[in-house]
Amino acid sequence: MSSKKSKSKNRKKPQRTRRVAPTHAMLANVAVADRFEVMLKLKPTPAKDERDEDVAIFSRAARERLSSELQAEAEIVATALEMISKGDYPPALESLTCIARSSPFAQWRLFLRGLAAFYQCDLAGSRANWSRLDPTRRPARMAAVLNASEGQPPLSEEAPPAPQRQVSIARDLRLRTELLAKARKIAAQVQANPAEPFSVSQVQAVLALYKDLRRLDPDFVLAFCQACMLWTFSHGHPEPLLPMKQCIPGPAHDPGWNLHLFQFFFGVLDSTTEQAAAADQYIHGDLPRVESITKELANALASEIRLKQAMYDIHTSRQSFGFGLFRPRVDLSAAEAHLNESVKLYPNREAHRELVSLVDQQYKLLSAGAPPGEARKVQIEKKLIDAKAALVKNFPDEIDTLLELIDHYFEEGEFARASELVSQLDGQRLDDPRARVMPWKLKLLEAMHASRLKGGLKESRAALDAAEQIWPSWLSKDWLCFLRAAVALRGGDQAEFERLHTLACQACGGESLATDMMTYAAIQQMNVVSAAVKPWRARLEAHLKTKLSRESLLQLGAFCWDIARARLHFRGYHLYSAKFGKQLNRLFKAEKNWELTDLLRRGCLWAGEHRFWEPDPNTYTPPKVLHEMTKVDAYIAAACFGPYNSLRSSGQKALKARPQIDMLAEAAKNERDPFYRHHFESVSQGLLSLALEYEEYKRHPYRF
Amino acid sequence: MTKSTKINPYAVLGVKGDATLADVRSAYLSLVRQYPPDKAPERFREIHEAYEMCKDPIMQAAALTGPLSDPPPLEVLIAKAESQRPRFPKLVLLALGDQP
Repeated sequence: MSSKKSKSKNRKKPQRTRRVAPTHAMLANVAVADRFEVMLKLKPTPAKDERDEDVAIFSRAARERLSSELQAEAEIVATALEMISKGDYPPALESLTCIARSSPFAQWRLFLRGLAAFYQCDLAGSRANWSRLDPTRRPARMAAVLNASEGQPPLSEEAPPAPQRQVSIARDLRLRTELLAKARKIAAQVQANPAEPFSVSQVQAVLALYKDLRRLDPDFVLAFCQACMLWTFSHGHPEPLLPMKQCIPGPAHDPGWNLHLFQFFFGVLDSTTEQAAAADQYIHGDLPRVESITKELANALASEIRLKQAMYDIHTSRQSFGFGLFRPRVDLSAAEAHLNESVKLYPNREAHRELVSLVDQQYKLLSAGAPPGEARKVQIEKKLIDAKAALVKNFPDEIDTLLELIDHYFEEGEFARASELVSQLDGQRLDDPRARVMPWKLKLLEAMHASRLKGGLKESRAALDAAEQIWPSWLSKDWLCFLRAAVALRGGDQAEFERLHTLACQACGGESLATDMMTYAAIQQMNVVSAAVKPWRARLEAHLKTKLSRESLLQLGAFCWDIARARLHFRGYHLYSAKFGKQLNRLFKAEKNWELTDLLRRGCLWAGEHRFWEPDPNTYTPPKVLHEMTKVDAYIAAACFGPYNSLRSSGQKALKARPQIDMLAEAAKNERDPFYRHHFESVSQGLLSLALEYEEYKRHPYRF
Repeated sequence: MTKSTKINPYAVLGVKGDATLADVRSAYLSLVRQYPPDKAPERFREIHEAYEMCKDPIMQAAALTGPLSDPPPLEVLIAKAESQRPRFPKLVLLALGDQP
């Protein structure tokens, strides 16, 4: 029997030893084995007489022996410990507030508060919490070990002793000697030759660091390996990227590195296919799975990527070699599709603007060669209007596009849609004087529209009266008398026309080229029969054949400047204004000694608006005779340098005009006329942006 | 001319273009403490506008999809790690409290 008993004792003994062995055996061997591997496999072992409240933090069986209330508290502590181990300190500490001071888990609350402080290098904070721990409990033993591993004096007189082996483990884990040595080796190679792409062995070293030592210090290893990835991106060689991309997760918004890959290929020539692959993988594969960003930001990211793809295509098309007939035909349909997708994904202002600009270019190209009403032209025009309407719907402060849209509806006679947009504009109470005059313009155009209708003359006169009441202070009223005369002529009252016309001319200082143009514009807008228009057209043609004085051309310029800034272009405006504008340009080139007058300013602003002095946008330069005036007069400066804002590649010129930009900004502050106040401000801001962009380009010429 | 083309909000707040929203908020709060609205109203307005712009999803997206920033120096990361305490795995930490 006794032998049987002793046999059974012998049989049981090794079992018990095996059950408690892992920790002690491992601790005994840590000095000789692969220390970190062994350390990371450590697991807590409950002591024989240990309280269930302490064991319950890591043992389900012990937890189940507790009451339901205490089980819930054990769960809270275990979760908080997990969160602190991941670095989520505030929510972890917040979750512990529901544990009462009288609870057996209050010791764990104190320990975890001290632990959060310890991890954040606040030793005083950790000490303040840990010195109050019950020395018989596990939290106190853990705290004593951590405290001793920092070489600190004991937490209190009653604090439990810290076993040397545990302290040694904690210190080793804290110092991470092996991990940091490996990291230093990789860093030294990069520092020695920062431009050298990663070799195969370097890539393997980074991957080994990530795979083998990640558990030792997850935050550092991840940050270090991600930084290594960024170095490989900066080297410009995609080969080392692929194996690293598969193992090392990217940042929260780009876990698969596909956005980075897209950005990488974005700076590489002829990489449309690679860009598209990375972009599609990111938008359709990664983004839907990323939980750390909002749905709104995810859509905005996708929208920006599509915009960038479109911009790459547009930029590449501009860089294509060849001139005239030899210039290769560029298909921008892919760019258009990207822009359409971009604006659908998110109301992206830049994408909307680029789409409008792209379709506008198509329309202008087509308009140059196609007859009006041609099917393709009508189709593109509709596309352009739709693009503009979508832009102003999402961004009602896009005044230029809104004004263009209103003008389009006016031209098409769609007064209901136009007046809807005018009301929308009026409701915004904008400072832009071009927006503020829209109700006036609406009345004026209503007068013109009514004069075309049978029996609409009464309405036309009434609308003209209404327009007169709200006539903008910054526009000359001279033209109003000509409009009234034209209404009389439209009604067939020749005598009344003559009377009103004579009065109108007298108000302008007698008949001149300008009054002939005003008459022509008025009778054309009021839809007077073509037989009555003909003599006025003939008079303008006759003026073109004579040598016109600078004064008569400047008077005409002043009227045309009003027409241009109020955007009231009539049918013959572009034809005649261009012809007379070129004559004025010839005078600027041939004659000297121009006196700075209000008439000269307005004439110059008109000529600058249409770039009469140099129609080629690539070689645009204002007349030399005005050069000195641009230094002292804001109006002439705005006329000469304002056109740079609508020209491509004029950043360098804008940079040279820096003193004039400052002068315009200063003039905007002191100007009393609302139109010029706004005009100077917008011209100076546009030029400043151009100059700054050019400076940025000079600093990073290869950055797209 | 829109706000976005006038100023670089990330530069106003003194953070990198690809900074996280948390970094942006932290920089904003520290600047606001430095330039309170009652003492520097103009600067405060500028900082506040920049912060509002950085919060705009399209601004964030533009910053995240912009040119790749220069990689951080690896030595700096190592030096930072040396000065910090790593967080121990949960079970290893609990094992440190085992009775000897």
